[in-house]
Amino acid sequence: MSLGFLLKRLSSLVVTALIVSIIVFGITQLLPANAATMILGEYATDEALATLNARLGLDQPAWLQYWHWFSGVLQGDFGISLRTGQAVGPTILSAFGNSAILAVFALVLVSVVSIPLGVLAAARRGRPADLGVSLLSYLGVSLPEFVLATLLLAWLASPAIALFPASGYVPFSEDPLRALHHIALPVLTLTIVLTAHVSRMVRSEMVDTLESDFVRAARLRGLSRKRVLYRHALPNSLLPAITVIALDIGYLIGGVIVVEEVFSFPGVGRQLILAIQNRDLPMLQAGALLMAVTYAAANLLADLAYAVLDKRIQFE
Amino acid sequence: MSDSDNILDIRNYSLSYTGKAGEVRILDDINLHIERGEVLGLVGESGSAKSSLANAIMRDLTGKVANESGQILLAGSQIVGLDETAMQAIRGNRIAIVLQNASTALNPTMTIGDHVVETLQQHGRKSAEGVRSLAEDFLDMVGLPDPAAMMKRYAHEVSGGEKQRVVLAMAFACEPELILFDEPTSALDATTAATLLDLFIALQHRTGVSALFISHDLGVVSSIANRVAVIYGGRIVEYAATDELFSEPRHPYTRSLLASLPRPSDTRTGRQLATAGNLAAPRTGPVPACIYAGSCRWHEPSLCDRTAVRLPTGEDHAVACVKSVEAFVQSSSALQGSAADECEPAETVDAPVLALQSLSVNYGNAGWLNGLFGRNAIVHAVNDVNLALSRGETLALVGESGCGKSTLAKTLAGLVSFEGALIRSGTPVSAIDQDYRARVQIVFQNPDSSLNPRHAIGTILERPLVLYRQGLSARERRSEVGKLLRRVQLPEHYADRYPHQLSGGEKQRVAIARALAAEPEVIICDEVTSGLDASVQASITQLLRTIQADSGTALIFITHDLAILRHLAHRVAVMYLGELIELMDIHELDKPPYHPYTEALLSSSPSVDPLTRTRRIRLHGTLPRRTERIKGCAFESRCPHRLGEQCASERPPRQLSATGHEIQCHIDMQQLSSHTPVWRDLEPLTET
Repeated sequence: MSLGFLLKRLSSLVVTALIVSIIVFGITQLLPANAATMILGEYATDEALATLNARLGLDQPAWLQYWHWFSGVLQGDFGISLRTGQAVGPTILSAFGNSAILAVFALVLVSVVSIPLGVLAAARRGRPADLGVSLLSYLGVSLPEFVLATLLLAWLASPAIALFPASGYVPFSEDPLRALHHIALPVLTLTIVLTAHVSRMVRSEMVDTLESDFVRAARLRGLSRKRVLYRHALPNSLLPAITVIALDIGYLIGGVIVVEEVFSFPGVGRQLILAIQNRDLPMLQAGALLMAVTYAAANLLADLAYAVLDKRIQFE
Repeated sequence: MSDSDNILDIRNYSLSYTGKAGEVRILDDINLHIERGEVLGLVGESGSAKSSLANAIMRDLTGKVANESGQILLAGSQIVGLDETAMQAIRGNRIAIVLQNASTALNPTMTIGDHVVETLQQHGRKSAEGVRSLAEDFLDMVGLPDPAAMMKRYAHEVSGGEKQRVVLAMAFACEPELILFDEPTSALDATTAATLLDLFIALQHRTGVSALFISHDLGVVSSIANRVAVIYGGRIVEYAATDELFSEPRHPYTRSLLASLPRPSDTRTGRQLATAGNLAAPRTGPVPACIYAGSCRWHEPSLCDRTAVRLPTGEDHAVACVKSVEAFVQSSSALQGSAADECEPAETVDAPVLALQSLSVNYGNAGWLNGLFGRNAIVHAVNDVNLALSRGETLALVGESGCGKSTLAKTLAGLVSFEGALIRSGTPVSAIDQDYRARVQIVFQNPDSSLNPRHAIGTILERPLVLYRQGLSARERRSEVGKLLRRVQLPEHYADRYPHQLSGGEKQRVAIARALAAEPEVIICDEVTSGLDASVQASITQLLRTIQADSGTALIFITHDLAILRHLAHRVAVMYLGELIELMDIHELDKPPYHPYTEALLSSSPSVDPLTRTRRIRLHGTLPRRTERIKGCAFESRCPHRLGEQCASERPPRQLSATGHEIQCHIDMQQLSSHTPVWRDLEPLTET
């Protein structure tokens, strides 16, 4: 991998984060809520509001406020939550950690399940196995996640079966086994939803690749079916799947609000909903920025994975 | 002959697929054999099912089989009916195949070495440790420089010719008994193809492998095969020893193939190309008594349709035709076109319609990061070209892929921005506007992508009338469309058809009619005949000549195929790596001086010509990177006549002869004139 390629992509990541931070800050400026009003309540006196505004720096011009906020962010200081009065940083990072654990488990499961499913469907195109996979994918895609989550909850966490706890969360540092037990249902829900996307992507790409000249050439050199499938066709079919998975990372961090709500899981999504409900601007800014950077980083990872899989890409 | 001598024996083999409208005959009543160490050529036009035969031998049937019967014997044992597992042990091991498009035959995510290694390992050649060095030996055998480094490269890091060598190495790797070549050189440049054919001939001699060599190019086949079979409509219509087949073709189909093939001696003899194309053979419905009946000019129902015409077996020169050879001889001159017909294009008027003055086209931009890393990403696609085109003139622009000829075409059509000056009828063109576009039209190589599949032919032809000839009423446009269709020799009712209902040649005629609609002064034809069968190619060039004679339109005919030029062009411009290296009159094509590159290009163009012998010149060395700024001569790295250091360091001078022959070379034109001609006449002009 060339250094230039890496530098190019990294610099675009930094630029993205910068632009997002400006947009996020700008939007919170436009919101019809003033932090001092939020803290002091509707009936606060004008003097009290003015004093607090001055103390929070809200009377300064927007660009200066942005600069203060942004320089704080660079030092890891995301400000003070208007809701709890505690530092935003540790709260959002702990939520991020929880979401990340959920995301990692879901992604690993998705990759393990959906790629072979897609390969299977493509290799047996038009036959029962393919139709079965297609049907399952359609179900997964079309079923809203809250329906799926509720169904799983009602079934696997029902008192009759009680295979998994219905809600709550135990940190991995405390008790890994119980932690696993608790995240099982949300992970399962997310896996089913995402598997549908990814396996369809792998299937359609595999179908194209299987018809390409080099796959035919490989087959006509007498290579075994397995080798043709996994060594020749698959690596050339993974690029779109990687794109989808990278987008899914962003979705898993903060985008799975519904699932987090159903299972009362303390992830970034729930934290953001709380922040929005309480007009907790610093928390909102931190959460939005974190999500945007995650998206950008996931796409960077996808780009790097492209370049590793397909040696031609870094030359483009 | 005893059967054990035959590596391959195909007996009464027939194959049909299930199509939408019922059973479709693919291969019918095939009887062929290939002896040990023999190279059998298989020629036929597109749609003749020549590739299907290779697929059948590989047991890689692409359709849904309706019926399959007969035998394909590999060294005496039947392979029809073998299952996939049994075929895996044969494919690549006992029968190897080299496919047409080497550029897509390699997995982009695997190194070249791994390709060869996996093939060897699959068929149990060598243990894990020895296998890499064995693979390296094979890469060395096919003449790849620095095989050790080549092992670690990926497909995108090597040239097209090198990829085809890798494919060749894999084909030879397991020492198969039979190699099938399916148009192996069709996608390659002439000079590359020529060296590869030489390589194959050498390897074949060394290993004694048998081969089936499939090609639409009779010239290629004639240089490589011991025997040649001709296929039409899924049936073998004739086979004979190569020399005999090309000198004494008997079947009307074989004759028609040869008659539309340009030869180097055509200028001398004034030979005309046959333009009567062959229709597609019937694939569905009842089998005709003679498969060629529909296109045969000698077809006599009372004689030909009496009984099924089959290819006799056991003869050295077999023909699937009931008529005697004598029947054709009298009328053969009619097929070839009377020698009195002008072979040369019409006269030109000496008034430049379009002139290019130091025209350059650069692609890509430097980019701040590339600048930072000191890389140059600019491709000099066309470099300092000077040309003038007269009214009524055809200028052929030749060169191999990447030489900038298509870029030049797009530039002249106003599709690419350029540096330098473009002068139309004496006035410099300041901007490419509507008026310019109306006067300079372009016809693209592939009508499948240049004609909108959703539009009827009438709509397609009306567009330029609306755009460029605004005074016409709807009724006038309608009649103008009819006229245009007649001009390109298509029936008027084609206006209601859609592109997919037309054959390849017909589509290209529509594309030409569209260019004509604007009544242009210049038509640029960008590889308009590549990919078409020889007879269709001949009829398209004939059409272009007729149009030129009628309207005085100037033509820029871009091609990589030199053979057709003498039937079309007045002057030839040769390009190499963006440079115009030679400009000459068409008559000067037959004798030196030539630019050393032109000489090699002419020599590499394969031909079937009983009257001429082609001198063998092959190029070695590598092409410089396109982003490199070349200090000296662009051809220096491959030039067989390289003088010395000055070729690499100094720009070659532009030498101009009294006749206007222009050569850009360090070697003196006088000295270039003393080189042996590429073509030697075998017989005097007074033909028997």
